[in-house]
Amino acid sequence: MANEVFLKLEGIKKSFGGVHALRGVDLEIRKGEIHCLAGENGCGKSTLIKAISGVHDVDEGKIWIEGEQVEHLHPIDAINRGVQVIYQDFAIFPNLTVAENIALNGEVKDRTKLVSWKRIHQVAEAAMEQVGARMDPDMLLEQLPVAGKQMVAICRAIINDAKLLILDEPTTALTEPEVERLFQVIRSLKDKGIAIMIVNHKLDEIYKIADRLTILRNGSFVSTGLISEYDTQRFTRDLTGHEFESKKYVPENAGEEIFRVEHLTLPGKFEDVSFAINKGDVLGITGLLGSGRGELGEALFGVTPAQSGKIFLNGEEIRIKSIDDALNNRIGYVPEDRLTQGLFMDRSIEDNTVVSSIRNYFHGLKLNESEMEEATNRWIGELSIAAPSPKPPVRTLSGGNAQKVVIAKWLNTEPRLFILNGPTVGVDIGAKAEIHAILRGLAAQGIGIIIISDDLPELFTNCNKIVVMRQGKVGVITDNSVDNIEL
Amino acid sequence: MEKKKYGKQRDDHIVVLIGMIAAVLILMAFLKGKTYYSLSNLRSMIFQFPEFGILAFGMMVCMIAGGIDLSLVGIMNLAGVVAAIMIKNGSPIFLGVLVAVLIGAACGAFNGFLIGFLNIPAMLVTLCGLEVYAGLSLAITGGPAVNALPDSFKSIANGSLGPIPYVLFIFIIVALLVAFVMKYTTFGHEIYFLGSNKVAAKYSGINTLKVTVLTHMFSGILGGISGIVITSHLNSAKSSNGETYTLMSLLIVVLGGVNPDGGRGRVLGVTLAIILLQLISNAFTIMRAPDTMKTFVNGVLLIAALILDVALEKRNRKRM
Repeated sequence: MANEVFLKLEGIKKSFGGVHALRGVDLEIRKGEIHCLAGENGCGKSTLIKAISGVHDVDEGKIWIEGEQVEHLHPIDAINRGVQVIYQDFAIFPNLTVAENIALNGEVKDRTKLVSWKRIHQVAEAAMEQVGARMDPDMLLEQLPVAGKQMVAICRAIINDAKLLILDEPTTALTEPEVERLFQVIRSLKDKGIAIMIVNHKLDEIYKIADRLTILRNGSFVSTGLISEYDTQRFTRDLTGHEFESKKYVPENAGEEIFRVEHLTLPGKFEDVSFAINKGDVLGITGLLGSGRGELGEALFGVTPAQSGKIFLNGEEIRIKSIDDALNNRIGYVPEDRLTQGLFMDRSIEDNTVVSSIRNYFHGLKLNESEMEEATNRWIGELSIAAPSPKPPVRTLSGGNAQKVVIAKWLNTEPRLFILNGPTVGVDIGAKAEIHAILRGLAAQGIGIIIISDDLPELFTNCNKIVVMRQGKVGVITDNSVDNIEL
Repeated sequence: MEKKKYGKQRDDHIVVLIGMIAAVLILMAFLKGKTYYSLSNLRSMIFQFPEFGILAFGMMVCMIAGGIDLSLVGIMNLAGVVAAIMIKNGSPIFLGVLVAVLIGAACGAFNGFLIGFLNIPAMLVTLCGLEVYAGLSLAITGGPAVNALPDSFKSIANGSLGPIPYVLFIFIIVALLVAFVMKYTTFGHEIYFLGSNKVAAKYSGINTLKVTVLTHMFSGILGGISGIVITSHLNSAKSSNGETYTLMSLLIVVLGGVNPDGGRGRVLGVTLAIILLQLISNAFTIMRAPDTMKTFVNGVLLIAALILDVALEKRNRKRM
């Protein structure tokens, strides 16, 4: 049973226009195994998922599901054969209840004309029991945390008789305990003989959960094998095509104080937070979701300002009561959600780069367009943003390059303090290392850097001071000589 | 080469518009060439379009900012009524014009404040605004139109310099001004940013409330200018002049390539759409088609413009 193959792909090719998204991918997923699909952004993972779920018809290659070769797979065929995909946005209905979200699909599929609320509740309860999730069936989805929405999506997949469950980067928006819960659920589904494919590129998580691993790079198949056959080095090499070494950050020589907060408080969010940043420091702030780490960042940028406490920048006390205040004090902030908060996806790289400093280009009576273009070109060069010119819309860039544009936006304002909330979420390993190098360089120039992140290895490598938030308060402040922190 | 590619995409709408204008011109050359291409017909068209053309620019800036301004006709008539009463009672024309512009700015600021500060959707605020401003002009006039204005005022929209009507100059100045603001000022760029992504605009340090208020003030001022033009043109001010212009200006901006979701649109496209609509409307008059037909055709055109917008967008995405 355990070795029976559920899905087999051979030489899958798919191109869009002239772009080869998949250049011949092989994949084999067995019943009752947890298979991890890893690859950097843009390696073709999403296209592959869409090929398996019938959204894209492949150009070349063969697909077998349970030993039967299928051609021109349509989404409905895939669903009928038991392929269920849980995308990052979960495809849920935020204004319906948990029970409705889980069970309505089935009601629609069975073509019942009248909705039986009793049955909806029964089905939903049964699904939650099977998955091991406990939720109030009458709660509206929009009131649930991300992890809860994900559970609902999993429940819905299960009652639709999933035989292969595909999860697209399921852990990116979860805190560590939530990841643990998710993994428990996934393991219990595996025990029921369901094949599971997880798209992920966090190695520590892959080790925890996966049985086997397949790595893609640039749309091509690189390697596959048991998880025990991969160590960190092979994983990184297969993933990126070159080797990386990570060295912990230590400032060259500690300088005078740049930034300090004293007893910062926003009732209900965080309380009595104090820390200081010296020249050369990269400060990390971490904590569980709801610990106040994100709210602290937003308060320092004036989005939801703190109610009491003192803030000092370069020795002077400053007041941050609005985003305007933050800008006037030259504080930059890379928000958590790059797509909705950080970027204007349909606008050009140039527009995105100058948006926060556009006033500087208004000379005499009009904006100086060539100066704006020049500045953008300079950042494209300095941050090595992979773009042919400042004109293409940001939508055309990969995650890593898009994030560099957000960074360029703030560097163009010449910040004195630069706060980054989750700067490398959804960024591939190569660009991640580049972004970290940029931040270290900025710290050396005397710009105060704060990285807010739940990616602990990232903080250990890049921050020489780490503030751990627990339930709105500063738990501990430590240096990066440690290898793990209790959150 | 890349640069060219991205420049070209934005011009798709322009190409379509020029094609449609050419189509109307060619069709009319066959059907009623002599009347259509006469100088007097050309002049009658020019006298007509500035009043709704200027309104359309107001609609354009609001829509680029991610909103809409359905109150423009209300602002136009309120400004027209107040200016007409003042001028009829002997105040100098420039003062009447100034007051009309100020009324437009005030109405716009009111709209913008409700939208930006209280976060009420622009569609609702400006629809209510339309009722409020129209109701206010009705209350001021008490019903009947304000007629018999001085000749000097009438000549604003009825006089010409040689063969060229004054209003054409007014229209060109307004169009250039709007184009300049949108392309070369910080404010103009902020309008585009706001319409592209309101949240990102906030997180980039743009004062979204200020930009929203200013955008609607800008629109309101254009409504006020239009109020002067239409009042002078008709030699009469009342609460219900130009009632079809709301839908018309909406039609123009969408046809002109302004993205109904905000963030995209250009003065050139909107100007071409204004010309196209005037050509079509005039063709109907010359063909002696009933007005009822005109409304139907305008509605069909609006739907066609929306479909065109979706089709072009789809093609652009595919090309990437």
